[in-house]
Amino acid sequence: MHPRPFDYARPETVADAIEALGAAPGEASVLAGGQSLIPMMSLGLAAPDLVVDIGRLELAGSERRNGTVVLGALTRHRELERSDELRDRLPLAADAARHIGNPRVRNRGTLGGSLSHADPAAELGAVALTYGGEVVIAGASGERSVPIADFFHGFFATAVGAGELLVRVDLELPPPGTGHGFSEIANRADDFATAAATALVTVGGDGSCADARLALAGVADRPIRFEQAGDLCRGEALSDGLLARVRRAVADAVEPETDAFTSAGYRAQAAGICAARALESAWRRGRGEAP
Amino acid sequence: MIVEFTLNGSPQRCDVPAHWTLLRMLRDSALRTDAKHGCGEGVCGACAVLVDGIAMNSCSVLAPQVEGASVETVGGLARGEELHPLQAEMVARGGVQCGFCTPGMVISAIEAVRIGAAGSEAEIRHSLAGNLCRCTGYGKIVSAVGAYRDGESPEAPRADAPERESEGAIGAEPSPGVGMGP
Repeated sequence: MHPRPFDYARPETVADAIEALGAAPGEASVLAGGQSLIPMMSLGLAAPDLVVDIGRLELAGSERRNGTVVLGALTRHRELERSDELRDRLPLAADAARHIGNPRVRNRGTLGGSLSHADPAAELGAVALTYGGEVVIAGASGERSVPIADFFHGFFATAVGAGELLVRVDLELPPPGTGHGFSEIANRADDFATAAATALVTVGGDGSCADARLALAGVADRPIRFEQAGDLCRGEALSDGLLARVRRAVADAVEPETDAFTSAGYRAQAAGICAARALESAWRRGRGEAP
Repeated sequence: MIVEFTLNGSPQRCDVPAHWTLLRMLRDSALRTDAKHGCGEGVCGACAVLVDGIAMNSCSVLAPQVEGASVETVGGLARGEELHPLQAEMVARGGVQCGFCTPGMVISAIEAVRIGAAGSEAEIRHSLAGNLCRCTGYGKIVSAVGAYRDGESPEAPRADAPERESEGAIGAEPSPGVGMGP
């Protein structure tokens, strides 16, 4: 119930962190908020030879830049959840962050850490896919940008390679008149999501859907965009029938695995229900109504 | 490695391996056992402490991460024999049974009240999520946090407190709900 010994580095700059990661002879792990890595080390599920603690790097903070919100990798879940400024700009991220772990975990856990860890049930992966934008990764040869749509490669696998570090995330702000919705079903409050859905709906002047984006967590080896959402909803009015079509389309499209807690069929139905709920909330907010 | 930090207001210097958690350093090096080792994986909350005023599970923080920080454990809350007001409420309202979850509950609740995340019973419960009590005492704990938030006197009787015979195990004065067995 304790981490196994490892070498520890606490660099002061991104360059030093990249160097430490690149020079590691064995397995190196980046320590950001530590809310996944440290429990995994304590459970014996992770045993890196080197831990590079990036807590001293200047990767916190956020700013609005040309229609995007630039979030440092060390932006904590608690900031997404509780900062008035971030909630105003990224309300979907704020709603989703409230479902991560518990308040102690959210006080420590970071956006960059969650995305890099790439747990397929993690809420923020779906959030990032829904907003869209880019992930900026630093490496020995400088920085490169990866579209969020190409960032997740599979179970706990991302575009961040060995010797690289996720340094910031640029999320695209949706157009005015866009509402957000989040819905999650979990076995216990604050537990990992059985399924979760994130939605952004842009509403036209007549209340119909101008655009709809939907993403899902917990139903595949990575968070996924449900691309049919736009085709199903654009030009339509919000109705129970439409929500039922979305629910069925999602449940039919996803192919989750059965695990020790949840059957694949249940998880698919849960995903459909979450999708319909998130979409309805987003649509109502887009019309300026209560969700 | 040497980790220097402030523990409950006093300078502390611990010589521990870098792979030790903050919890292990507190218990096995600083010899402060008030933060409890429950699950060791960030689920139960019994090890919660304040680091620079922010509640965190000390099992999920590495010892070197608190270099230069101020760490407060539940043991630093009382002033001499005088309990912190929340501790007094926990005693008065029977929010304590075996006591193992109490340090983490108190730390989490103090932060929740401080940041305004304890405005209603639902908010208190949301803020205490991740602090597990296996004596099934949540109702009394939530009540104690609400009373602490309201600045109620611990002695004030509550209309909704059950009338029960006290075993007299906790506190000098028998109080409603104290001393209930499992």
